[in-house]
Amino acid sequence: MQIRQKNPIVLIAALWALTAWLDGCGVVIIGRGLIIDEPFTEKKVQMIRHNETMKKDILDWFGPPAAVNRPGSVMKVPHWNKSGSVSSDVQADDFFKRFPASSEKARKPLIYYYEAAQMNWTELYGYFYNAAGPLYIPPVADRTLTVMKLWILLDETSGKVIDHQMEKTEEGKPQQKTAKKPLTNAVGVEIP
Amino acid sequence: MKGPNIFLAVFLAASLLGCVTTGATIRTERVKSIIPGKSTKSDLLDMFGAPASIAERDEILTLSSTAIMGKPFSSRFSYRLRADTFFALFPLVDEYHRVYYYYYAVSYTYPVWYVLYFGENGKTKTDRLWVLVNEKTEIVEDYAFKRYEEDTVFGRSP
Repeated sequence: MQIRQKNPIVLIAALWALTAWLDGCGVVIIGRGLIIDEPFTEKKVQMIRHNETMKKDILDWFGPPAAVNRPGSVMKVPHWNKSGSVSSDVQADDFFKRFPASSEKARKPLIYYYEAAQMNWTELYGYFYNAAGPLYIPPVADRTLTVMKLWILLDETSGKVIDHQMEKTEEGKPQQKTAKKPLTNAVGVEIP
Repeated sequence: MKGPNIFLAVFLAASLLGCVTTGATIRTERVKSIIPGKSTKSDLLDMFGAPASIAERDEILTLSSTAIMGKPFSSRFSYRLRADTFFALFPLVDEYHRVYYYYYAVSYTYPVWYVLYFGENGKTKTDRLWVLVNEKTEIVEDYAFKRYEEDTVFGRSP
């Protein structure tokens, strides 16, 4: 049985009705949120200004990145999943494909990658007390891992931020992008 | 029935409080006492003890996770990271430079009362310190200190 965090009211009401019917008492816990790792916040990311923000600002705000990507290299990229943080080898070029037009603007392109993670889950515990004595109902749970990924394209020569992208994924599925990705044609040239 | 009801509620709320720490506290005053170009590696070890990791450029580090309060991350795990990420903080380095990495993490959970039910929230706050040491001269040349939710403080400008 899975309990959806989106609509716990029905379950709570049902549980309380059940406890009342049993002339017992009930206490439930429902809804847990745990911030696991938070090197950046959306508020801070909004402070990034293309061609104005410097690499120094990024390091000041977010600290060192989880991965530094230069064209042609293979990166060891740590990322969160439901059992913890794991590392995988990623071709840096895959990261640069995110910025097909902007990468050309940088004389010496470099990508800093950051990741933040939050686990939300729902657990329902029931404690009943009736004439037969206390009754404990074990928890049922539904877990959701939300990972926020941030890619920042820099020009090493000027030290300026050229572009950035932030993506929020839930259980590995892309959900929303908060930074606008430029429109490009088939060969990766930006369309004005 | 009120007795057991209140007892269970209090017991449950108390059971949601939890805290676990990893590493030794990094005191800001101690960090400020590091003088780039003057403090030695020996001073550093005296002040902060053994680091969590010593990074050499281009190598791949295996780091242990911080302890996290709350399922499913109750048990610790390790992950791999390129040392280049630490050296991003210190651009001017050569083969003799190493980054000594320290961290202190507090992970905690607390109950929230939502009238009809309890909720549990939690956070993991990590303070991190990276110190650039020249192994040839055994002198600390720079450091970067980032407390949770604060900007990074450098010994010298990056």
